[in-house]
Amino acid sequence: MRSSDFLEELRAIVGEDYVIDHREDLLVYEYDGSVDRSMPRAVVLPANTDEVSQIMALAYEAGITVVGRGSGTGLSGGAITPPDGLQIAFPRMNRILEVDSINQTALVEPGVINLDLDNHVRRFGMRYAPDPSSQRACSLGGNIAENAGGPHCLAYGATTNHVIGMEVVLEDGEIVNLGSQAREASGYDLRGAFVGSEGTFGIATKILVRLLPTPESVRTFLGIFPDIDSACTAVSAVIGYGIVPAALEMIDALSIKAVQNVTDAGYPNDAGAVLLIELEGLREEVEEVTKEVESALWDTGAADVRIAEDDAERERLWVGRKTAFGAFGTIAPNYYLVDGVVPRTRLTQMLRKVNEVSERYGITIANVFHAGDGNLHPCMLFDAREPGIMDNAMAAAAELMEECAALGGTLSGEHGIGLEKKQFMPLVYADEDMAAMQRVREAFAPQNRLNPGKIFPDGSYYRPAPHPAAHAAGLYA
Amino acid sequence: MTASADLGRDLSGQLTELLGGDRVVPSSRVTDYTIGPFAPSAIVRPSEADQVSALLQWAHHNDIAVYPAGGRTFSHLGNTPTRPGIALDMTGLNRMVDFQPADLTVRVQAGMTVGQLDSELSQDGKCVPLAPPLAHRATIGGTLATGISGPMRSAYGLPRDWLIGVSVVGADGTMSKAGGQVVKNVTGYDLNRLYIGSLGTLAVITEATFKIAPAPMAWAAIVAAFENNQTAVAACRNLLSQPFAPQALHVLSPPAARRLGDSNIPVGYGPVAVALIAGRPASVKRRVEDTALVWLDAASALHIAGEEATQLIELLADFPINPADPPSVCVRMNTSPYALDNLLAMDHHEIGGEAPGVVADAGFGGGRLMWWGDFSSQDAAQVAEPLRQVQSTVASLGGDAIVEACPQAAKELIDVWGPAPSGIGIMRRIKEQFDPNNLLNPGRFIGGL
Amino acid sequence: MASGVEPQTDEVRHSGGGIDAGHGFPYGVPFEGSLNDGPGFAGSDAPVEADLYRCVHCGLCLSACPTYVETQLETESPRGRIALMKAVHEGRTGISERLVSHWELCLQCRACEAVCPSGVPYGRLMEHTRAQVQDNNLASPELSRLSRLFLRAALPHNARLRIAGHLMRAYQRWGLQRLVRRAGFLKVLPGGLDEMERQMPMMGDRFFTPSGRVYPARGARRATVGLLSGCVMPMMQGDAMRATVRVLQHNGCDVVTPTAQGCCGALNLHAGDLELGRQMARRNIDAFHAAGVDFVITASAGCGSSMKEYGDLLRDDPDYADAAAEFAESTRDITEFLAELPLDSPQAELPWRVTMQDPCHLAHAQRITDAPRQVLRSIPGLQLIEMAESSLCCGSAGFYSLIQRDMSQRLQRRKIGNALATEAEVIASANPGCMAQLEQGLRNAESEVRVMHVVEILDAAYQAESRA
Repeated sequence: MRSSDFLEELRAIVGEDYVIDHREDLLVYEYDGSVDRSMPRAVVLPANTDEVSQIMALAYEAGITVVGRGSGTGLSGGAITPPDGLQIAFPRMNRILEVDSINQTALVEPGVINLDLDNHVRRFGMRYAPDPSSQRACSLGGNIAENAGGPHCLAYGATTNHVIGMEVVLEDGEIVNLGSQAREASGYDLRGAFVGSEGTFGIATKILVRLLPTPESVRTFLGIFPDIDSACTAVSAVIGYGIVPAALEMIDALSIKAVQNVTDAGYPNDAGAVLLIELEGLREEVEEVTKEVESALWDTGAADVRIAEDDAERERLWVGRKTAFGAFGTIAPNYYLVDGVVPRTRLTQMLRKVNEVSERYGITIANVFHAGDGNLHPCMLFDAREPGIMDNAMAAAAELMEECAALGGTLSGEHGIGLEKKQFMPLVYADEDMAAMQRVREAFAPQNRLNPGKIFPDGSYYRPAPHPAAHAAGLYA
Repeated sequence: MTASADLGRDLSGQLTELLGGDRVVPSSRVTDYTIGPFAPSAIVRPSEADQVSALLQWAHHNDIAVYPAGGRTFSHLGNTPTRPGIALDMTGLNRMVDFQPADLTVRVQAGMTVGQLDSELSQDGKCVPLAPPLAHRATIGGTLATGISGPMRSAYGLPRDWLIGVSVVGADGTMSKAGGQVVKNVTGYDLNRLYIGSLGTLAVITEATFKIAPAPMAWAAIVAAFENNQTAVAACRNLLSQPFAPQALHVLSPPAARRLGDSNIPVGYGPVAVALIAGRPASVKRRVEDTALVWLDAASALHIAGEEATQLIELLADFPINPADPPSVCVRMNTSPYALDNLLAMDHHEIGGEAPGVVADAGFGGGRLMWWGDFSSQDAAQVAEPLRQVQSTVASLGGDAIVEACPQAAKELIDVWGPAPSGIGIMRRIKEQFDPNNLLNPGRFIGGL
Repeated sequence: MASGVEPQTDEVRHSGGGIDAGHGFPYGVPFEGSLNDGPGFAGSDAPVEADLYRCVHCGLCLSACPTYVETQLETESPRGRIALMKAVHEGRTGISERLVSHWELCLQCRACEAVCPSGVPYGRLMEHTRAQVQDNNLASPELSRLSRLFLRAALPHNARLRIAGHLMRAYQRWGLQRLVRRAGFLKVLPGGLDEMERQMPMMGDRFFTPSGRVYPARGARRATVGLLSGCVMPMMQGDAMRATVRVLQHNGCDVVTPTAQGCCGALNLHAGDLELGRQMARRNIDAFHAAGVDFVITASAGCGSSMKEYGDLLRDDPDYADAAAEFAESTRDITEFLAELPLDSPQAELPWRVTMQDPCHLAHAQRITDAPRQVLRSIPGLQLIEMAESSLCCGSAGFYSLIQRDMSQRLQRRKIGNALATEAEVIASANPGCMAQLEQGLRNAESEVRVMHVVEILDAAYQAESRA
């Protein structure tokens, strides 16, 4: 099919205004939150399942690859579309269709923003638990694709633990329901396989998510430590006590400085590290656990333990955590983030490695991360215009991922593999393991028309783009 | 196919050569491994994953079907086997591989019983809250393959919420793994969830890694009888909307309440609601007190159980296969919690004049219908028909119904998994991808997979 | 390649594992050179590379952007607009009409800046980008005409402005349409005159004119402050200006209104006329410096935000850099100043139901949201009811409402809907443009609800006190 015919047919499906094919406009659809970019052939904005199905069928016939895009906040290049590919974006499918307080579920379209859903259901005394840091912008469809996490996943699990059923469109346009209205369904758990498949299995067009009642009591506190080692020990102690807090986050000295540069989060400037801990539940339970956590923190060498007195203070402590990555801008203009996970008892060891790598490569690395589940976010800070710095950062990232794997951990805790980490897959999976994964993809998308070239190593691509600024400055001439 | 099919070769000789004589179970024990009318042509009981791999390679080469078995507590689940084959008893792989209390993770071989895992973890104050029926016999692998969950599932989740990694042997003997050892992981596709509940039709699980949780320090239960279904449902809805809602809440119809066999259950009133509570002592106390207050007026009888609640939970877990009083027909219904009153009203589906007992999980949704009568002399169609009706009623409620147990003759007339779901095409392709020669548990899963 | 995952170029196929040099477009370089033959960025006022690459395209700005929220199009988002700037900077496209249309739809409300975790100076980027657009004569005809006739011909000149204002008031009061037309003033505005009439901000009954005199403090003197009279505010909201003076006097301030001062230049800067903006800034710096004040106060959030950036604007001007920085330091929004003092709490009750509309240039550009609420809460009996999306732009945005009428009205309707849902009697604001936009929206909705500046409400409370 000629390209112009294809676009005409697309327009016939969704309407004139909802096919974007002018190259100047497409400049803004070539990136997501990661370092990669590539300009799609066109972007189409469907309004409903039926349109999605027609689009998919049309692209399937024409042999065109399709990539779904939520809000484009992903950090692993999952929404980057090949140059000849069609991007489907879902801003028009952003309705919360139903909130059911007896079943404690919500039925949403993929374009609904994570935080909008949470805010919406709070008025019914419920909440949507997965809270990725980008929750203000990221969409549920994208959350499904990446199996998004967040600080509160420690207690409540990632997106996959909260998806009950889905309506999805397959690569040939077929509409299929995965799961049901019940939390268990007979047959293979297709919904479980689908969540986290990074857009390679299908496009979710309706999503039934589980909601949780808002807790009766919330307690947030800050454990202040002289150094990062003692903070790591405290993490193990808390977990070892048999306490699984709602959230358990670590912020290291450099990050504390960066945060305090931009906002007063109440983190002491001279601390070696702080732990941000949140407990939720029944009043009595929170009271009791608070005491235990407090003593665990004191026992492991805390310099101070502060409990948020009210919602405002609680909010302030979290604002510090949530602005950390942005606050790194006060230290260096660019950052690159690793998403590795290690067993919780290996945190100290891993952070030593981070330190060592930082010194050896001469790259500042800050650490703000989900300590409770061992999900690190070593954040390399640099000025991308400095010649050769991207190579260095990528090499350092590779070493960190290798160390995560060596310590019994994995490459990604919540950001996904996408383009960014696909060549590192052999660090954690043997060929047979990946072959088994590919078999599931073959079953969902036999023609591999959905988001091809992601997740699995193919030797075609190893590292992110040299920074465009460096490119422009002729550094990569 | 009432006797072992002769596969035309010296099976036991070949298997002895392959795995060693001590790994081949004598044919005298074949009755332990029957699945309805099916009897395996040979039985092996390997002790290592390598042997499982060797066996499946051999089976692949010789085109022989393999029927994996664990504690054989739920081996009646599924359709009747469609090919002769050998039984693969996994209970020889029963070691704990790695237990990291400080990481809250544990890795075990698939043939270990859930009871054994529980007792090892409990020494450290930890648990994996799987609670399948007959946990002291049910294996980890079997629990994962069947996807069976326990009575506390509304608070503690399903096996899929605890499994973080598996090692499996594929239909051609290839060993592979999925997931890993860490509690948070989005590296590659999530095959853990695909294997759970796949009834061993995709691969044989040899090892599983779980995240673990602190074991509850205290237990309690509140049992209340209500005048009728309507008041019971209203009381349950009210309780579930409270911050002090129990960890689990089940409603038993009067026949089910009688059959459960717990002395704490008030019988002879009406439907009985059982609120199960676990956690720290202070919160258990609060939940018990507030629940009692909320229910006091509505209930016709109310009883509070303390530590003996754990026995009640075990009875509820074992209920569908209680060896002392097993139902002859049992249907598991998967629905949303909203369907609670519909489920309780399903006791009009009589078989041979017997109304079923209903157990409904008010918090999680779904439940079971159970009949205890002897229907062996009953016309198969008269057993199958009400089962089909149940399946279609539950489908109309947006769920599905799985016939877990029924007389063989009736089983021949239905798909115990119910009508094929919307994703059956994908399921077929998955099966073709993983087991193109249809060697693993052939014919037993949904749609004849 | 049975899996269908095919490398795109020979070069990368051979790269294998390990890190090697090479381009980083995952699917190969999509195109070389520029998409069009439009001009690139050039000159000293081009967007600064360091500002551009501060944006790591994380997308957290999306939900804060009014035009993105309305259109759901990435091209109409802050991240998208910066991506287009980057593309020009990198030579991948020239400035084209299409790019300009996306940039011009920006309200410059800077809501994105307030939520940006990376601290991208979006306002500055957009001003510089618009300057490049102006330099290349690529602005939309509407903006060009407006810029030529109003921003350049009227705003910088106090006398002309006042004449125009008088004419406009005359027009509105007595329908002297011919006079107005002869002034050439309305020609800058797109669309028919009928529609224009509804759009036009209502001129106040009494203008406020800087007199050079000192309005003395009441009671002990706490500070000497200079009051910016500005351009349109003294005409549109003369009452608010007078209320500001009274409130400052009440709180122990000598208030000076230098006659040499003029428009702050914000509208010129937003439109990309940086040079004229700098001239206007210098005039104000001189005027207030001569007056010898401790603080420069403005009751217009848009002006305050601009004046606080004079230091940045003139940092390369050796004669003015220091003075500009000092001026910026001493600038306060009236609500900010009152909250800092802190203000005298009124004693008499003012039992009004009030909802606060956060002006973009107060909430986002100056990050002030608490101060106006502190002022309102200090009034006994006043009930403050928060509206949904209180800091989402109302669509006024300087002269945006005249150029991007459709988007402006969509946002206006959204804002009025949110405000009326609170059932408040008064919408409080702190910026003349917003107040005009709200008033017009309320007229369209045939609502009786009033719009008042925060200081007008405080002034009313003080007056109630003095009557009591």
